Amino acid sequence: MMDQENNEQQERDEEALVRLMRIAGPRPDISPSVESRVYERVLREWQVSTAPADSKRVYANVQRSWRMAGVRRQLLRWALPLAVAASAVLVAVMMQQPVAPTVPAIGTVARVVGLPAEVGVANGDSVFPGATLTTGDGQGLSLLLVGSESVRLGSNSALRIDERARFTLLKGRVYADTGQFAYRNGGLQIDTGLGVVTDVGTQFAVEFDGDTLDVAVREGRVDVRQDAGAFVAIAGERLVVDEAGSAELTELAPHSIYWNWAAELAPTFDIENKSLMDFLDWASREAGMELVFASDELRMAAMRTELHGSVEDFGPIEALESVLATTAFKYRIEDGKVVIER
Amino acid sequence: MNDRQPQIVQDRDLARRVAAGEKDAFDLFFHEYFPRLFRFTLTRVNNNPDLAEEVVQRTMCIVVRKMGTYRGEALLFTWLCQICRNEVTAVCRQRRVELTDDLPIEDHPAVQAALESVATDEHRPEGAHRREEIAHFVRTTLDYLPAKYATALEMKYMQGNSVAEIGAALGIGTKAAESLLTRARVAFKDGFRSLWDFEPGFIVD
Repeated sequence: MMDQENNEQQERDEEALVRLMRIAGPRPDISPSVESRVYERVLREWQVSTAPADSKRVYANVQRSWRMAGVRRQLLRWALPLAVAASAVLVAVMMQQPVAPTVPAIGTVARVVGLPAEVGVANGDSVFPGATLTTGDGQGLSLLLVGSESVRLGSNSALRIDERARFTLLKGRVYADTGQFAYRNGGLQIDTGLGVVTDVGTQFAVEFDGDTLDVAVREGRVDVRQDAGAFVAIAGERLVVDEAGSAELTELAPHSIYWNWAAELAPTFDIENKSLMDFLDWASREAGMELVFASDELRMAAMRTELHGSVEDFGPIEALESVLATTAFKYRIEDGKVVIER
Repeated sequence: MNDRQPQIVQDRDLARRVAAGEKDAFDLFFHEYFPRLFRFTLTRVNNNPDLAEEVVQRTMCIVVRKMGTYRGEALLFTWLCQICRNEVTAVCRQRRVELTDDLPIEDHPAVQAALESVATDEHRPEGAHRREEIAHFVRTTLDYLPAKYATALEMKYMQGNSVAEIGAALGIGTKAAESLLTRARVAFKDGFRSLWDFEPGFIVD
């Protein structure tokens, strides 16, 4: 009896629901282009607001290094005789260590090209002010700083870390990508024997061989100061200045092969559980190209597509080829743009 | 996320993950709340889609910045709506737009409280009246429901899809879809009845 009443009630509910839904009709559709625009803006805001989370990860690494250093110091103390004279010697030795554990690290090593034993650092190592990083033939390394900037050192180069955002390029070439978190305080500064290079939220490269200073700008703007004067280079320009202060400005496309060395040193993008959109943003940015979708629907579909696997050690275009082969998306490269289509 | 957990628990978990910088949580948050918030806003800005876009963008930007401060004392959607109302006022003042519509019924505190309980298991008597108002109330109720519930109900009762088809569209099995539909029906009835309780004059003709 109760069951029958319940069933009747359920049927009445169903009928009422059908009538109500038919009266209401479908809710108004929202244009995918509106959704896409708002998504992009809110995503940028969210990335900026959660940027410290990246810093926290780097700091966690630093704290781990400090703890390890503490353990090493403890072992050292137990191993040595407790004589006062020996302790004094130990203190003196520790004071001369180039990396003082009380100085915070400025970041970690994100990628090493070449044998770590030869380069002198390995993935995940913390780096501290005062250290000088050097690379030889066919070697390179990239750093991820606590402010989420990426700094990459090419082959046959030497870079001294002066402060968290200040470096001295002693020789060779360095590339910096500081543009993804545009709300950070101040720019990255790279001193050279021929002038000081400061960025304004950008991707740029600096080469110094003792006689000339070569600055290439891929995105944003860079200021170059010398005793004799100052220069500005913007995206798509390459500025070469010499000791006498003469300067030559030429064009250099953001997707020129000149930038390949920097793309090869890009920190690995972990695609596991990331959206296709995130991956495409990364790949196109690393390739110096604009990301374009054939339609807003495709853009939204890319946001909703989740990736799995790995593109470790792949360059951006290689990774693009490999990832899209597993999806229904295709791409073509046209006039410095990565065009995504079905 | 386990959608059998109370909505407030799911909301707290989602907010914590978004604030911690988890990209999949951000996407879940955006795709769950953007459509609901957009429709919510549209009715409050004279159905002007440009204004709605601006208001929703401002609202969601504020919310993602403040996500770490969300304590789960109200539903996430209620929190979004509260910030959205302030942004509607601010944007309309800046644009010198005069809003002609009366305060929507769902902005009444009693109705807000009732709609908040939509995701719980409370039951109340039902009624109806005036076709347009019913349509508005139905859509409002759907917008307050979790997106999956609203989609399942629309697919079932407007588009006539089978439970299996609903499951396939939502990426869940047929059994899970049936269970979700049951919960969606209960939540819809509660929300709709709450509106009727506030405005008992209307009836289904």
